[in-house]
Amino acid sequence: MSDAESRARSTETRPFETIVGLEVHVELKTESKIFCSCPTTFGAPPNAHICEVCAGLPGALPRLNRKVLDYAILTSLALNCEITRRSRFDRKNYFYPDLPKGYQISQLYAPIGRNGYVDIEPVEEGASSKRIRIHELHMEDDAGKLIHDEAGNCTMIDLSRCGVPLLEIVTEPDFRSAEEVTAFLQTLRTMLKFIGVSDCKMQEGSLRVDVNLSVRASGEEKLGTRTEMKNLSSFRAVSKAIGYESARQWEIVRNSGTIDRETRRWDEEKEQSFSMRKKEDAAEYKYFPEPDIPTIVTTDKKIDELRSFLPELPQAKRRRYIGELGLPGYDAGILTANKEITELFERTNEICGDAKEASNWIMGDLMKLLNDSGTDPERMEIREDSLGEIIVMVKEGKVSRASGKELLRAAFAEGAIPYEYADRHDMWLILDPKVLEEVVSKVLSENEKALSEYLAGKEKNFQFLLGQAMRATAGKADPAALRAALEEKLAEMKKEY
Amino acid sequence: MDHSAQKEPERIARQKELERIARLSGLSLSEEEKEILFSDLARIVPYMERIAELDTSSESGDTQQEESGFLREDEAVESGIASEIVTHAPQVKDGMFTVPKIV
Amino acid sequence: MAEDPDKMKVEQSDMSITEDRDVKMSQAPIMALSAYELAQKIREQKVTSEEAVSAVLKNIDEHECDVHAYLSFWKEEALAQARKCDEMVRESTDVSTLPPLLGVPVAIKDNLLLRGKRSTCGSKMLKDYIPPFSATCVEKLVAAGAIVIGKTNMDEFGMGASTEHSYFGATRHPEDPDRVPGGSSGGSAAAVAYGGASAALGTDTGGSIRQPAAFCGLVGLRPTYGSVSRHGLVAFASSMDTAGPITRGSVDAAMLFNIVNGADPKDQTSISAPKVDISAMENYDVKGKLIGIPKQLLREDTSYDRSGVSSRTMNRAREFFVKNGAKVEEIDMPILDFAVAIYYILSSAEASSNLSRYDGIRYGYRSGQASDISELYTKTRSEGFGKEVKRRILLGNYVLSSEHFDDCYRQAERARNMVKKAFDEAFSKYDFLLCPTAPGVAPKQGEIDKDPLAAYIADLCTVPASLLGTPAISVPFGRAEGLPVGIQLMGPRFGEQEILGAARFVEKALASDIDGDISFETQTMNQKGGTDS
Repeated sequence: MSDAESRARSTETRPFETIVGLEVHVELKTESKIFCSCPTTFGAPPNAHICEVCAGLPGALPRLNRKVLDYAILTSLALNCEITRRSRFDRKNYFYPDLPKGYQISQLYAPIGRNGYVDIEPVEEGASSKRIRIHELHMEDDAGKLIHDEAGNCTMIDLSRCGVPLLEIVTEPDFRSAEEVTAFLQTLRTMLKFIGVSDCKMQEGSLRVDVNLSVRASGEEKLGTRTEMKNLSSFRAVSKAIGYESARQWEIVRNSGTIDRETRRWDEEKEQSFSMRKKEDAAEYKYFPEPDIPTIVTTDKKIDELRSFLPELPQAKRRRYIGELGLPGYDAGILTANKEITELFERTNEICGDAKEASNWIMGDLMKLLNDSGTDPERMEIREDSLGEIIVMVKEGKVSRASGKELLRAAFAEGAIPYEYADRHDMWLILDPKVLEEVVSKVLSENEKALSEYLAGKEKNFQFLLGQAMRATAGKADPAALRAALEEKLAEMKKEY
Repeated sequence: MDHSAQKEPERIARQKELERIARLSGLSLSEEEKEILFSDLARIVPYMERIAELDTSSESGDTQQEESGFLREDEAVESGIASEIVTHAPQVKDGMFTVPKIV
Repeated sequence: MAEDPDKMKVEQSDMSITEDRDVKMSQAPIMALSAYELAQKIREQKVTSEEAVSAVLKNIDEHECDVHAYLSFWKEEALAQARKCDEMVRESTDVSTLPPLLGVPVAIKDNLLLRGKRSTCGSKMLKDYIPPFSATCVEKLVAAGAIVIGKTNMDEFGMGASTEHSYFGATRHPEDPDRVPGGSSGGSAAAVAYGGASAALGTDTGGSIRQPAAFCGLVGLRPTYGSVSRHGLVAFASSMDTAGPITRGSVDAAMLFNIVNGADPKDQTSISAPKVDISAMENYDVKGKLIGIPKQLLREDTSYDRSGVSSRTMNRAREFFVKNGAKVEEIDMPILDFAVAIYYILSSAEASSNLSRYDGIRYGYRSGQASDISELYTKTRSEGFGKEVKRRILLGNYVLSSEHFDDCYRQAERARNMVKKAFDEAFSKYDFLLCPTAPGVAPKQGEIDKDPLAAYIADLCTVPASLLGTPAISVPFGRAEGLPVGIQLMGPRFGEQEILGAARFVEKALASDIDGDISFETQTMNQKGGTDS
């Protein structure tokens, strides 16, 4: 942590306020690109997936992908946006080698979604939720990739990523802390994954964040000059960058300096931001309506149809978990913070029919496994049926609770199937009354003395006999069933006695 | 606009602006070209700018036609021309287009 | 001036023209046939495709050195294709099922891509460019049996009105090498005019089909915007670019239009127009029709038409239609005084963006002088583009730059809607509109380049249809000063049937009254009209 940063953090009541707005770029999960049929596969060899359209050859025209439009509308609806009934694309013109057409096809004047909001859960315990306004949501095409060849003294261009569909979600400057930004991004990411429009894999660059940030003295109303930090690709980087940049700006403002309106690059290794270009000499984008793509007219009918495809979103789920399933708010929050966890919870509840139990197992054992192994929930290998099956096995006494925990560990770590694993490791508790009766008979015949004392009235010998019986099964009997079998046998003998 | 009647500061401002437009255009013009093209533009631009006189307040700027139901379905198809495109490029290295190193 | 028999003169095609008619042409009589007639005769085995292609190649040999209509052509390949077509005809049991243009030699403008064939767009930037795909309209033409002979010269990227702005040298007027054939589809027009092809495809952004057709004595149809796919048409101004036929007659134009028309998934702005009923064209009569003449399009063009050819042509046209029972009225459309400005603002803006992709990185010319990335752009583009293209790119960047965007681009966009409203109203009343195609006759070489603004203004009559996206046709209307003159008929969106019918009517009337009271002359004229793209 830099000095400035620690200073900024150390003051409990901060002398200044940080104001942040975000531009979030989300790569959509489609088979083909936004304006051509080339596959969107990540990690293909250089220039394997290019055609006349995405490589910007003369005479090629964009052909808008229906799914991109549908996904954009779905996302707009999820973000409570108004849908623009006559939406258009615009060209953003500038020269850069990763931009084959010399323009990006984006939306400036009539983006598909406008004026939405997202409520984020309180950052601090007891606080109320906060509403982040969404300025707009628009569609655009991604650029290619530049590879800098140190030895060859040239820059190489891979256009395979050109034309991968992106949504850009622009917020109002409603954030006041890095924590709020992180909470928003987490909420957004979960939501996008729930709708199924994006994988949001940050490590593959399918979620990228630009941070617009300014500071002002506490109590001041006028907004300060903002800087923009582009292409942050992890929550940690976003959070670090906000901390650094706000401290940097306040240091300048505090000393009566002026903040330059500029684009800054965040260096993840050095954990510092560096000036890239001043706004004065920034490219002029010469936006104008894209004449190759007709105006997109969206009707009420279309919107209703898409709305019906919208799955239950995390916030609604959370409310339902609290209201219908009777879970505590904290648990409901955790269970809905992540698509994979939510899906596991819902499937588990479906199988075991006990929401409380399902929640307890996830909140306790599963979370511990995740934390201890440092596993991202999206990479969990556990089958979605496993936990439900384990809970049922434990509840029905087929395995012990301790075995249940072991089964979950195996299911989590190795993707083990609980029934098979229990077989292989001989975990089954003996439940069969016939078997138990045989065990009891055998134990009684081997402990005649204790038995006759018991029959003669020495009741406490029951515990001894039960212990012997349990030992005889090597602990495999269900204790309750074994006790019942012993009690029954002894009662019978007492009658005869 | 009468070119010759332009005042010197105005002419310089105009020249500076056209230099900027040339940069935006991705062109580097020779002095000779500048002389010709800029003096052409000095006559052409005012002719075009006459449209500022028009009262267009009642018009929308939406001149695009509407979607004709022609959206493409989301199906991935290999173009089959990827390698053809790359091999015809002026400079290629390791299957990639190259440009002078960007610093 | 009567016709000069020594000058190569090309007849308008006419269905009544028969093979044995005495045609005063320097080329083989086979080329006096329209594409429509030729296709019929090939099917009937009265002429072979090989004979037709040979005749065309002979004309090319004879005239190409003077005219320079083609940028490339492929003799052997064309002949081989012709023989294949003849074989198809011989083997066919039902010739009516054969494709409509089977064996007919056609030319295509160089900005219409044909896979594997060099497509330069008249630019140094693409001097060696081989496209990996074909234009949809070219594919349709080929699927209809046409034999593409070669690719024709043009003003660089379609920007110009004379085919002088080609990196590969100017095309000359087939009847007078001192004159321009018009442009930007000047190569297509010249090739058809001298018998270097039976018909051709051109492209029209602001008049590039209609104006060269008028100057070369041909029919040029700019179809409804979107009815011909732009896939594979190298973009100039996307909201106005339209491919269309340049032919010897309106029947050929209709036939080619029917072939290339149709919505295309590769161009989402495309839309199918109704097919033209060619037999209905024959029965078309102007009697009882109401024809409007936009007054603002009658403005005398003192730069290019000092002798008033246009106004005399229009007077005769008006007389012609009235004599044949139509009612002709002038319409006041004040917004048209701004048509040229609107057109140049919007088309240059779009062009500046469309031409941004020429950067020397993925294809085309690349400067060898660049030491850094910025120089790669600026040097490649400065060395690769010609003067007129640079002028348009500068103008386009000017009107899109933030200081001028609202006053220029936005204003032009709204003004374009005003033009649309004015014409919607006119089309609700009139069957079609009539105006000159271009001021005067084909100008002398070098004339247009003297004053670029005057050249832009000369596009006045052709740009309205471009802004509207409506169909317009230039049809020959006699001659003046020894050169062909055309008139333009404009119809509403999808109004091809009406204007092609009217064009056919004009054509038939003129053929029966050849050079009678339609052709006229002036004594001492030396310069004439020109137009854009």
